Amino acid sequence: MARIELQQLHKTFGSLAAVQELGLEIAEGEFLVLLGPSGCGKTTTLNMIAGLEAPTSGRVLFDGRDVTKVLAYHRNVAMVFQSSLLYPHLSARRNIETSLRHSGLGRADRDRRIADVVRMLEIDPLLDKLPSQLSGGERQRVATAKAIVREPAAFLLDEPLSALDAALRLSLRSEIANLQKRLGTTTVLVTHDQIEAMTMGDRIAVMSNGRLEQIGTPDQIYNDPATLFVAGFLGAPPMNLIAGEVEAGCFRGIGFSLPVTAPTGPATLGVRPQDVRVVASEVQGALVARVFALEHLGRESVLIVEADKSTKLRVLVPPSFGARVGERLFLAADPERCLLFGAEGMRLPLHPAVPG
Amino acid sequence: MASERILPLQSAEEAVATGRRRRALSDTEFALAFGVPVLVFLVLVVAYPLGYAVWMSLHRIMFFGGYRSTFVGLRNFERVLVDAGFWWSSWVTVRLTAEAVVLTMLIGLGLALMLNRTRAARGLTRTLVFLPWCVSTYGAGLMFAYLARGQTGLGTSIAYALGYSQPVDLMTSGLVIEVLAVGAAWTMAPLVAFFLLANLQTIPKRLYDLAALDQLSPLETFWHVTLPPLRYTLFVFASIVTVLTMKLFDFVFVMTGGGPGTASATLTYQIYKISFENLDLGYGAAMSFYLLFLIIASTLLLYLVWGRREVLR
Repeated sequence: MARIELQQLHKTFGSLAAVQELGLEIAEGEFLVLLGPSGCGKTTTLNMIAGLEAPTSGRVLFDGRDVTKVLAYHRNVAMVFQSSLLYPHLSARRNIETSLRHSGLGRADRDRRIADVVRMLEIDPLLDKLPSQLSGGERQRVATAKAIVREPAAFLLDEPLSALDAALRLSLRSEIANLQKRLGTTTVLVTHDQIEAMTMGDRIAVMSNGRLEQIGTPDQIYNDPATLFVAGFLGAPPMNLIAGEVEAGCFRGIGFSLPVTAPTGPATLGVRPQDVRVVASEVQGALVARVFALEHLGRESVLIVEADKSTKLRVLVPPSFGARVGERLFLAADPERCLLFGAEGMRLPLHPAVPG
Repeated sequence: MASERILPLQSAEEAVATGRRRRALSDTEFALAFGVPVLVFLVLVVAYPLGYAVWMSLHRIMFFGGYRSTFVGLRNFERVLVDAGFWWSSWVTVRLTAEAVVLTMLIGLGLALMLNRTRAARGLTRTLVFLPWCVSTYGAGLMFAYLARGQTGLGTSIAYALGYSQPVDLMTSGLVIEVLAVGAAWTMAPLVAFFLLANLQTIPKRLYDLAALDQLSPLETFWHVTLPPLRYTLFVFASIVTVLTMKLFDFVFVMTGGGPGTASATLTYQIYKISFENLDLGYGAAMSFYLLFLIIASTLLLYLVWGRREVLR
């Protein structure tokens, strides 16, 4: 188990800056999720933590010790790769054994450790099979066993669930989270799936274009996004983002305004679908929109409305809600739940604390 | 039957006409239409010569004093077994084949690994590497003869460059088979390399990362990551190169003429000499069947000791 620190990490491939000025700290035993769209630098970051790729500049520290120049295997990390990569011509047992081949452990110790992980992950019947004979879920278990048998300082998981079908992903998600808590090993998981990130991580680090956008608990990331990118990336259905302008203490967007105290200039207002209500026309400041579609999700429905040609908004409504396409509606947002973002995508306070 | 669906759109007369024209071929008719020409072709180019060879091998054929053939039963086959020249040529063939197969596989693998890493001028490198395969074995034979001979060869120029004054002839009875094997490998390795390269490119890059995390040495990584997807291709090409080398003729003919003496008289060369220089066609045909047995036996052996395990995977 290790505390991992990344300091001013840079990685460039030719002229492409894959990771820039990345600094973050992962506490001992923590489950950190690196979340971001593909190409945001999250896998490169994981590779640098593992020691599979050398940073262009910056440092990687394990328990305060600089390991930037230390080779992958001396960092004692274990990795589970996308689609649970295993040596294809070796049986599950030999795949697991390979993890300990150069560990310097005696025969008896190795056998004991392997027996332990086999029991923990219930993979006894799979041991003599080749990876090609295992199902996706079984392969995932074997890859996990191969990783934990080394009792590593950190687990690094590179989209381990992305190649699996939805039902299996759902069950393995909680299994991995449960296992991580039982073992208490520092874990970094890379994913582009926000639900995986929200459900598994103690904290989430959201990355975009090689930069860290925000790091925080799932609750902070969801309810208190630091940037426009984070606000738009997390949440399903996604947050409504309305482009507009702040003028004289008022945000003006498509056909409505909201009093704010923010500097004048272009801005974006964000409001989650659950914080918008369909209201009677009398309410002051209500937004007029036409129904575009109604999606039934069972527990609730998502009402999609067109505020103007280029702006569609989503509103969570009860499943009993009925609406015809093309119908005119009035919407009101909870002003306390609105988020304001400046031109650079940084969060602006809606109501700055009054000094004094 | 298919024409029924379009009936309503046409007059009855038209329907009958198109129906006849468009009637779909049955599966059997389709198979025959495509299969028969191929079968006829195969009979002409394979079965007829093979049958003729069988006939020759059972006869004593003479040209001098007027062409005549007498049926001699299996006498020709018996004569081969007590012919010291045949046994010597068999040994030469086996030795050449073993060396050529090993060299071709090693050079092919080396080239494939190199090509897999090369990024700069990839197209040019690949073209250059592939070129030897495009050279006719006749041309390659002339070139290797030139390179191996004492007067003009590599050995001599290297020796002179190192300050020795004696020419080095590689076409000696002790080395000529090795020179032939190198030449044969030179022409065949590029093809092997390209098939291996295709296999190499299917290896997920992350498997090398896994090996790095498992602290596998370069040799272990090669053995556990690089080699497994290549093994089946290596087996297939070992078989192909075995067959190609055993029936290699033009290269030997051009380069060594079976010499010096009979040092490089492979079975193909021996059969050529018997059939077309001594004009003993029946005896040559019989010996060519022994070559056929040798080829079948070698590939079968290769399959039994190696291929069977790869196919099972």
